[in-house]
Amino acid sequence: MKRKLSILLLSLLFMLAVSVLVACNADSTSDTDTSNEGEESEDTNDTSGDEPLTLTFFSADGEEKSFDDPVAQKITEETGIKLEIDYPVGGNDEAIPLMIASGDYPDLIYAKGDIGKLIEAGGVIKLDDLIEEKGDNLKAMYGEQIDRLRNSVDDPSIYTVGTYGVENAYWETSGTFQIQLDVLRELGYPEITSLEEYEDAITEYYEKYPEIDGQPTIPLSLLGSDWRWLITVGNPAGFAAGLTDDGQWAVDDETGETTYKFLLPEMKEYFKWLNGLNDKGLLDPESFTQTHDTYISKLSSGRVLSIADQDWNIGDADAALVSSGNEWKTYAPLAVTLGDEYESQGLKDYGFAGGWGIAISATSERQEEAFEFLDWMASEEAQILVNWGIEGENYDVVDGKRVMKEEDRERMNTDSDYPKETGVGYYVYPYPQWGNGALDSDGQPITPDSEQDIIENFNDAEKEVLAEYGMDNWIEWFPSTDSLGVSNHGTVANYSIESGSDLEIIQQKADDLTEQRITQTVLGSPDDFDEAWDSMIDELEAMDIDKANEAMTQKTLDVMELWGTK
Amino acid sequence: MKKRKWTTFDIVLTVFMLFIIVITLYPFLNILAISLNNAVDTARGGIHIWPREFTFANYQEIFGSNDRLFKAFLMSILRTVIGTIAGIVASTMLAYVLSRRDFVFNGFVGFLLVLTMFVSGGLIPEYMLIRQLGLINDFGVYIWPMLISAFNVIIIRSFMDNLPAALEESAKMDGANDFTIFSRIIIPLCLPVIATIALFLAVMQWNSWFDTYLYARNNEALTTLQFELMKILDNANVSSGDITSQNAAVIAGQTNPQSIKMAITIIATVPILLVYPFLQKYFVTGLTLGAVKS
Repeated sequence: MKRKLSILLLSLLFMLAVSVLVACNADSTSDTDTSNEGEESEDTNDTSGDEPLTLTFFSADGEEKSFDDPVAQKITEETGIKLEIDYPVGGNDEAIPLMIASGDYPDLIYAKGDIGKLIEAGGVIKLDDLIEEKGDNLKAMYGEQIDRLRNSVDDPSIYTVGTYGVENAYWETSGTFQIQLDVLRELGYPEITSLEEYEDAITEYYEKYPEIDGQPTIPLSLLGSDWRWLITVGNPAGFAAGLTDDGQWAVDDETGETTYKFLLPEMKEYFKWLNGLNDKGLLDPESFTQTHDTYISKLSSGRVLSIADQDWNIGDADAALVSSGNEWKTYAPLAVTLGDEYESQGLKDYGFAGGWGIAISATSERQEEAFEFLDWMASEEAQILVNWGIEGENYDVVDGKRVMKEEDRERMNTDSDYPKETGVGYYVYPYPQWGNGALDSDGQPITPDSEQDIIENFNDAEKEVLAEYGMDNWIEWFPSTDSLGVSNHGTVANYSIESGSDLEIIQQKADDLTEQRITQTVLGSPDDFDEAWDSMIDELEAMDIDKANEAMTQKTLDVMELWGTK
Repeated sequence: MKKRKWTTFDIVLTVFMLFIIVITLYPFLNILAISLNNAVDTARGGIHIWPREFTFANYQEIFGSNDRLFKAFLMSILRTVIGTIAGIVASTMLAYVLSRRDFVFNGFVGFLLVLTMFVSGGLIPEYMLIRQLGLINDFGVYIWPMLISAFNVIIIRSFMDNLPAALEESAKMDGANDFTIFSRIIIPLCLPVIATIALFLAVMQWNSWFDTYLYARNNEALTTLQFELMKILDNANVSSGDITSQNAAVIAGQTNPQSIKMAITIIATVPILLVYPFLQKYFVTGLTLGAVKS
């Protein structure tokens, strides 16, 4: 009896609670609605005066900064627009889904890879008509490449503009093998273009100096313990085989045929070589276990003869070496490949990558103003302002040419706060930008970066080595950008893959497998190499990698069709 | 008094305890040393418990980059104090009701409570709920959602379950009402568990930054220390590594994300560390209070 009573009471109580909650909800909704309306009407009042219009801008790559540096003030002066920049603090990836769920969109959104979600949710608007009507600057900037902004074959509209430059010059390489300058000096400046020559070089130096400063010399160190496996193990393998940087994929730029990279025989050849290196004791035994900190401290000690890494990954080590006077222990990039028949793609021009730029939200009440702002950013006037700063303050015009002031040039190279404080160079990415290879209407470079700058900033050891080789810049070792041509498919790394699709699942499984198995094979005995490699290929085929190849090929073909590059 | 002799057991115990002290203190000292060491020099590794090139540059970088830190610090203290007190009051009251055997809905309410430990709404429903409740950009968002945690309530309740029922009965005979029993008898007896939960709550309140980001980032007055520090860390990550210079002196003056992270850890940890000695008193007195003669 008592039990029954309690259940009855309970259900009554529950119903009461529900009704109270519902009432509360209804109240609070109407509350928020009215308060929103209040805010909006205030805002519109603001804009009717001379006050600048504030646009909210979510930038996935933003940082804490207010829009009040000299360049920003100039932008406001010219356009009447102030930006309020928001960004995902702590690198969280829930920001876009939350925006979609709550419907609270900022005016401008730079969502990077999440743009697909926004398009699906109808959170951003199509820009085609706006570009047609009043996007003269954007049209002029993109020219024929404007097709590269289109979303997909099924929905060939343009949703975003901006991010990377349209015309790019390549004065630096990154990500290939790099060798210590001292090795080159010690061996009398040899030519190193193949893995064989490269191995000979580090072997010879290693035999000569088995210890550096009392610690054992490490001929080659990799960092394969975390996501950087891809940077220092996976990618260099592709570069050695003359592949362009397409992540885990190898693309035939003519036919669009796309293959999972590790299925290629060249990959086997490369890792067989790495396996041999390990067997000869030339590969750092901690290569697949060390942390990034350990790796950096090894590099900083100057006893690692060579690496296969991106420059941004070793910046701290480079700084430590230079500041302690160990300039000869810094690194020079090498264009090594498996053999003469492969060309290093270090200077490849991937064309305008598109697809990831700034979008205008569907709920924004200032879509027109937002678009006008983006279009203005693509104008010559704006590009000179954001790249060079303000005439008379940051640069002077000498003999009709823009010249950066000495002080500004110095700070640009040495002070990481310079762009933030002055705004010079700060509003280039991810806004529409011409690119460092573009020229203005007078035929002058649109950006102050120049190859000369890079050359001047080489350290003394680098300059000496370059002089010995009779070069100005390391890129002379690499096949030139012109000879490599512009990529027809951009890069697979930028394609968006639908979450939950077969392609995504298979690639995930394949990536996990290859990372684990290649590590094992490289560290294993050379006698077992062939067998271990073949069994990995078998396993890849068992997980239906062919299906992923087909799906990826289709994606590449779609992109080429969309861009009209097929 | 006779001098006690050291037995083998004592020696083993002492060595073991020293070992524990070393492994608990070392990480902290290491962080302190790195935070006080020149950032470029840190990259070379080998910093243990003593800085090699002593500098305050990492701290200067943090305090120099942001003028809101002091206000944020006060806000963090405010939410920690209010959040902890409110949380303790709410949790003990609920726990007491649940520990009463004559409460009819004991099982059901207990079930609802436990359910929240296994099933959560997820980030987006939670955000929408907070928005509907009108807590966006409101100080209440720091207090209400953290008021009751099922885990804390269950700990307090099981502690209360172990109190002798006779205590309550005798108080009732002396004419005490439920509230008097709760405030005069139960609470004082529960001090040890309350101190523990207070510490949990305080640490949680002090450390949380994500709720500031989600719900209160547009209201500058509500920014918290952890949130500001998080932003500084982000900026350090963004701006590092884009410097090309041949000038060794310029490079040597730079900071890097690792050093900034360590300095931030110290700044964030020290204040909450200071709370602990005050609570320790309650741990000790609470233990003696709990010994009831029957």
